[in-house]
Amino acid sequence: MFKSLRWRLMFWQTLLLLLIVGGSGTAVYMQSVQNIYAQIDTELLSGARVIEGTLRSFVEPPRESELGRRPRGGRGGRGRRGPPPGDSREFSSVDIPPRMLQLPREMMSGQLENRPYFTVFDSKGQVVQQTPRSNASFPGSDVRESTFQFNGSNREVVVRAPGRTIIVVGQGAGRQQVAKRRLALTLLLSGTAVLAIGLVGAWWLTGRAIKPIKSLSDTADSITAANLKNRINVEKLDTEFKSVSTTINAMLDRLANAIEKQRKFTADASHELRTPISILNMHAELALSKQRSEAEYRKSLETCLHAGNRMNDLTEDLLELARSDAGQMAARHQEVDIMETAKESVSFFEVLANNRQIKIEIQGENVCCSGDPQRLRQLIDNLLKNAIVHNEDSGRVQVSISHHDDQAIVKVANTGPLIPPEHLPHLFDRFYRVDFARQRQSDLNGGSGLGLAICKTIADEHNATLAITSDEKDGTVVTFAIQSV
Amino acid sequence: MRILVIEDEVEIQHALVQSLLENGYAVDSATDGATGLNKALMWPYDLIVLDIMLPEIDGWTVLEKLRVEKSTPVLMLTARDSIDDRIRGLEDGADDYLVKPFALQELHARVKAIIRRAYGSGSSIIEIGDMKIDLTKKLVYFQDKDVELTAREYSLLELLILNRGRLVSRSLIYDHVFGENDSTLSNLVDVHISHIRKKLGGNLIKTRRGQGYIVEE
Repeated sequence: MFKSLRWRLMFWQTLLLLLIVGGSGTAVYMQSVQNIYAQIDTELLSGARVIEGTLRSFVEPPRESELGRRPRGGRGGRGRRGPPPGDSREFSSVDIPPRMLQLPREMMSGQLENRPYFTVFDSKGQVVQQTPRSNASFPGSDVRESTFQFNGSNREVVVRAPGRTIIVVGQGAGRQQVAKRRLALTLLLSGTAVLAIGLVGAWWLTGRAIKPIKSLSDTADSITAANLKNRINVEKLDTEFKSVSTTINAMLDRLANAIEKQRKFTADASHELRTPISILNMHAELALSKQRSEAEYRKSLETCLHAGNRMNDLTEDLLELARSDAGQMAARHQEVDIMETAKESVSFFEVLANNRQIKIEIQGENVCCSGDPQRLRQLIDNLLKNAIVHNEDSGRVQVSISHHDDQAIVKVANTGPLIPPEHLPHLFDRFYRVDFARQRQSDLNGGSGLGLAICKTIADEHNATLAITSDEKDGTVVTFAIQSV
Repeated sequence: MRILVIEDEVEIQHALVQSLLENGYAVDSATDGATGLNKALMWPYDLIVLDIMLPEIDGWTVLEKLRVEKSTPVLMLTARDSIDDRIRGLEDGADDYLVKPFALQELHARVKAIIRRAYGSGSSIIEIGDMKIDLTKKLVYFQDKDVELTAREYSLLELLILNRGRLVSRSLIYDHVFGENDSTLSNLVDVHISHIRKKLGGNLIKTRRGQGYIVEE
């Protein structure tokens, strides 16, 4: 589940909401609780102060004129005539007349269960005086001044009083408890409701947020090799998705182009093969159609063989291009002396050139580059062959090798019919034919229409460039430039 | 019957020409569209075998320009077999269409059918008097017996039969039975006619002095 973006979003959102709702609920609760008890606390405290006040008057005897009754023996004490003035000695229960200490009358109204009570303890925890049904218990002699506390369902205040006494005043707080509980419940319920709404909202929102992703994936599904025309509609998308969708569309365009190029290549290739196949079949059929002389059979077989070779050359070239396309041409890079390679190529093609009295010249300097020696030789071979085949009788071919700006430059120039400028950019395309006369020339010499295309592939593999010009001044010139070492 | 083969791939052209010659046709040839068109307009061919991919002028253009002036039957050859090409060929005025590579046998069958249709002859077996001719198998019978005719003789007979009921002039015979490379001795036709008469009887072919020959139905 944690792999799902939606669930993760939901999780974090819920957590956040929980924290917020929980936090604010708790704060509200605590604040309210404080408020709920504030009133009763104030009352209790004032009651405790009243009692404290009464007690104090025992510590500091009243002025002579204010003296009221004085306790006379018997009931009161053991012959004492009252506390000595200014003495903070401890009280005990005999010191104080019973029912002397009273809470204010206003507090004493109300129901019996909720009537306040008090207890005055001495420092040892003995009860000095208390209301009959007091629930108070001794809080300990080191209790802090003015402490509020709960005693069961009662609320109490603890006050330190003169004579080292401790006053505990309390009251039933049932109503407050109820209010507190009600508040808690309300907060809990509303908090849960908010959380629930939040969850539903989060679910809906995340659903909407990821909808474009689903639509992207639907569009991607609809695209197959047979149906590469669909594209994602970028117009309606949010900005965040625009860029990824545009990228995907661009990728689909490239893919469609590559597939189309491939399809065209295959179609062109099979088309090219049809001619030599026709030749082979026709001549075989013809030879077999009636009894013939040995010489005739021989000639037919030669024609068939020639056609077979032509198909073979074409197939080899096709395979090479296919492998190159698939990136399987492992570049075995060595140091290659271009001049030496060119010289070998020239001597190889001398016979072909001589057949038509074509002269090949080679000049230049020794330059080295890094590359695959076989492939580079093949490239120069192809260029030379073209220069000879598409030449005129008694024409010239000029090979020059030079070094310029970190690059090794190989130029192969030939005389003969010029190539019209509109064809020049397409010459490296596969199976591109300038005109049929050239095609025939090329085919007769074992050309497959792929020579220059293969040269281009080799150049690309070596990060080199190939360019071609054709004009009156220099004839047709192919220039190959590669990084020198 | 005289056929023009316009095909630029030399080996294919040679095979076509030789095969047609060996089947009794008179054959002319051309290796580019311009030359082919010239010949097609100049001579009365019974059929033109036309390749589409040609130098100078391509096959479509040759067909187009030919159709302006002549309705010579055309059989198109191509290495492309897309539906569009086939439709285009037939709609532009070709009579039939063959995709390379094809069997020579199929070529011959189609050639025969086209020529037969061109002459308005529905059936391929025709009987006149004691003579029976099977145009498909190129067999001739006289009184139900096999008759051996030379290629030239057959070609001449076929021409007259297909034109039966019509006068066939000598020049027509020259144009349809002899190719540009054949010698044209002036009485060659007479010689062939007399040979045919010896084999099939004298009644079949009538002479119209000064005008030509006719086979009556």
